[in-house]
Amino acid sequence: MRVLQSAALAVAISISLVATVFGQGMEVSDVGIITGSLQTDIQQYRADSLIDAPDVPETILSNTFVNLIFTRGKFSAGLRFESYQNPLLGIDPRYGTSGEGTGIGIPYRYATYTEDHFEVTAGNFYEQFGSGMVLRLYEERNLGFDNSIDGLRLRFMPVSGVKITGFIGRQRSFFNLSEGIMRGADLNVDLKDLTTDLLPSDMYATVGLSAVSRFQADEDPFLRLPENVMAWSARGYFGWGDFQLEGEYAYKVNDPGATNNQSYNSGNAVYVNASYATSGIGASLAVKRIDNMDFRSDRTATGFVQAVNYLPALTKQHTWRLITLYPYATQPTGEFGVQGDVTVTIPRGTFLGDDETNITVNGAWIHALDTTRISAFNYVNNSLYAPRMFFRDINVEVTRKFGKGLKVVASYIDLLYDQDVIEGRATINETKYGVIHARFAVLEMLFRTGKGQSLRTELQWMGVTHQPGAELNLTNGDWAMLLLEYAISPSWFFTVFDEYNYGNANPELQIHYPNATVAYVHDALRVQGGYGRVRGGILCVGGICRPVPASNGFSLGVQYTF
Amino acid sequence: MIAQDQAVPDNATIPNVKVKTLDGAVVETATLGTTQKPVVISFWATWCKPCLVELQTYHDLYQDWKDELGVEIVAVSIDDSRNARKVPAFAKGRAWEFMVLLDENQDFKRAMNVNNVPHTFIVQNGRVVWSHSAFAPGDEDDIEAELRKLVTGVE
Repeated sequence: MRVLQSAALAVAISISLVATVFGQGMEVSDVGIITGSLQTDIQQYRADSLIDAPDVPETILSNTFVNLIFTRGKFSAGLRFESYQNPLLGIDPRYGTSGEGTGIGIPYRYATYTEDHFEVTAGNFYEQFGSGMVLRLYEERNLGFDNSIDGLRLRFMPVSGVKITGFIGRQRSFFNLSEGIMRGADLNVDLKDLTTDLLPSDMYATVGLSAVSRFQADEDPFLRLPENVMAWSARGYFGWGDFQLEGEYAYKVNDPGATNNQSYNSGNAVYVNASYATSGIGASLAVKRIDNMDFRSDRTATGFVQAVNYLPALTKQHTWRLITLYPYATQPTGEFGVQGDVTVTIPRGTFLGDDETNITVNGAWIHALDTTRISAFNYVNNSLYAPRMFFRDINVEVTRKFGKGLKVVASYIDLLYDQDVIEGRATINETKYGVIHARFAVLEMLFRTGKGQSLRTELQWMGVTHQPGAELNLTNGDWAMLLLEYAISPSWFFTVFDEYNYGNANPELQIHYPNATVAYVHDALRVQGGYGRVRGGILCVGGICRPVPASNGFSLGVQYTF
Repeated sequence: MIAQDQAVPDNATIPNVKVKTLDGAVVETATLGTTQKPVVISFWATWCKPCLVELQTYHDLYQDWKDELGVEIVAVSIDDSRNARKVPAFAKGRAWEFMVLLDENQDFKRAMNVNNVPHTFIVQNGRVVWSHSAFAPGDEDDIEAELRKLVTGVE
């Protein structure tokens, strides 16, 4: 693999030396094109005892990523340089200590050759089988997450509509590779593409089968652990006009590990989604049940690493700042959830006036499973789910334009959040922090103040009720927030906001969290600098959430795509 | 909407990965924007607020751009399996008439070197001719000027 790495670098460097710049990327006729991107995030840290921000000996920490992709016809190769000096707080510190221990390396590099009926990739690859319940390999660098597999992947498309994928390799673990060997295969059949006359013109259907397996030697002195652990799934998709139905069932053989309390139960998961959508109205309803489906490339891994599959939360992903204090996180050991969603657009010229009004309503309910332990290593399911609720969210959002000069978004969210379970603060039968009831309201207004100029304001409020007698964490109680953002198209953004924990039970912690940032954008370059006191909490980006520590200091970010 | 049978020009540089339409049909990304007619490709996600400001703006302007300039818009959702199933209801419920594609494991996003959403490209003859990260109200005027330049060949 070192050879591949050097070859890719050599190609990259030699081409860039003689390249001319066209719109995007660098290209020499008949040699190929190189495209890429850069991202660097630098944060200064100051100790702040009020918010529990620690003293950082380095004062400044940084994460840097540079991607390069070389393409010539059917061949492409790419790599990613990563540097953590040292990893930003909240990013796993093993990025700084694993491998050679310098925090610098090229942990991602690949070469791919694609023909009409065949594709081969050597090196690192990302992949998803079905909805991801048995395999999802992806990268979310802002969260310090990359679970690519290093190895070989083959795709075979024998006839139109049929795709077979197979792989074998080891998963990335910071600057090392994971202990387990991963193998997998997937069959996807698109009935529409397979034969044109099988389905009516407005009907689509797809079926798929996946299997993924891990080998990891059993070195446990006491337990007999399965060395080969397989998970498989079957899925189907059916679309007819405005109606869609999709479902997947997954099963995993017993896999006692660090995250399931050494349970010898097998695992399973089922997911069904139905939706109806036509111009101006859309609705969807989803049901999901997960039982013991945590799947990792190393059975000893815990926390946010070495995941092989992806079990997303069946809840709306809120991005209003205050309510991100209480996001739901899937409980892979067991949960049952239902979510419904309706979006309606009331067109121009009705009783609501000359502009469109958009309304969305969403609700989600997540419950515990109803299980009874029958031995030290096994449990049984008594019914579909238990009355015990982990999370409930009901929310509504209205968006309305008033001519060209003003756009308003108003939203209300009411949620119940079991802090003990979701944040792993207590065992399931214990109450420490209890259930939090949060009511959130926001009014966002976007004013066009002149040609290319706009002012955006957000007024947020969150009322929080804790269970009587419950323990309280640092950021308890009621909050308010004001945000002002002035933008000058296409290049400048000036943002200030302040979060104020005015209802904290401890008067000394009724504090402000002020932030100010300036961003400059020129084409595909973005530079952002700022100062802020950032509250600790859970940061959700791109579908997953991780805890971030509180911090206080200056930050600088640069991103560029070429 | 997008001519799928369109031959990809020899010197095209748009990477070819597979994404899906809201109906579940597979689209090869190299077939987007292969002709003289510019295509706006905008990467977005249901949870990304500036993306929604951008796409609602396009929603208001799309008919004019299409009639006057012959321009297509393709909104590529990078929502993962948490939200991807909700995208058809999300997009149609907002009465968006431009094409929406699903890039569920972000293969197209990676191939196009997109760091964060929103990120917008203009593609012509199979090549990226303009690229912009972030969206501020008023950016649509810049994009329109750029499109006009590309269509008429006049600054």
